[in-house]
Amino acid sequence: MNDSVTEDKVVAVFARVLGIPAESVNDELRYATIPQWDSIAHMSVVAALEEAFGVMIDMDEVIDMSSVGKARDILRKHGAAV
Amino acid sequence: MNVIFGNGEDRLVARLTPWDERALGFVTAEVTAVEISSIHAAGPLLEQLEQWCHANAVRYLFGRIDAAQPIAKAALLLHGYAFMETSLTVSRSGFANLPQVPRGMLPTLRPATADDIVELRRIAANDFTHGRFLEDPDIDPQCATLRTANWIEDLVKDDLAFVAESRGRTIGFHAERVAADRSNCDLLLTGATGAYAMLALPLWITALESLGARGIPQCTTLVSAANTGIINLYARLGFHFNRTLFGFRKFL
Repeated sequence: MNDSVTEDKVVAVFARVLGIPAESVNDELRYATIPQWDSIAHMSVVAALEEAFGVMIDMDEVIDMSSVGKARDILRKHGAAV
Repeated sequence: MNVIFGNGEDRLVARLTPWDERALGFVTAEVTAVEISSIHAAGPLLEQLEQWCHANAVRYLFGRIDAAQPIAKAALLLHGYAFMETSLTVSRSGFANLPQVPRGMLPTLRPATADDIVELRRIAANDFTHGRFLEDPDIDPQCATLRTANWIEDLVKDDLAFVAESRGRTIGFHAERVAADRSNCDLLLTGATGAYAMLALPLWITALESLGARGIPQCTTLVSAANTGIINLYARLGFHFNRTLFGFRKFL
């Protein structure tokens, strides 16, 4: 259970889906550098970001989403206020 | 062809494995069953087995037995067989309630053809750290890799392999063998190529949904216990862990 509170919606999604404290999520956090963010969790992260920001992320972007910062860039490209 | 060595109650079953020989460069054989009631009974049977190996110029004898067979394990260790690997058999019945992934992420599967062999061999050689073959540190890693590459080529030729594609790009492959009575499917080799490793889960979901659509009720496979990534994937996909296997071998 993650009791951390954050106003950063991107951080909140990553923390909730990966089951890690919001304090450990920052733009430098990269895919596959922690056990919680593996290829299985990656799909859940994508689905949760799509739902939270009302966007559709395409496959190339899913593959390109190698860090929290990259995810933020992709969401921004789709017009999300991040 | 299986060769049986038995004395009524106890038996060993073995076969030559020319597909391993092709990659390793020496004659190999696999023990496919060890059913013994006592360590004492195993000695004469293992002796018969090794005589058969000598007659066939076998240099490398290997196999897997259920890890819950303490007598067989003790007998093999006593007779100079070395423990190499732990593996797990897993299965899934029915294909409902698979994890949800964005639909746009699901690749398609099409039957592989001869034109795909080069790319599929490359994926098998470069991207499969683990596979169905016994993981033996005394086997040259390049030869070990060649076994998987040879195997996928054989599977393509036997019409058992599929290319996983997304937007026209090859992201991996899937190979399976459906039983003649369609009661089960053996998942032989499935994986995404390095650049598309993030799409492993959607690839498996596509493969499993395809089985469901064809009315196959169940699937089974074997995984190395060293491959924790795939074990986590199977857990996420709702597979049941059935048996732990004890992988052994002996150079003759």
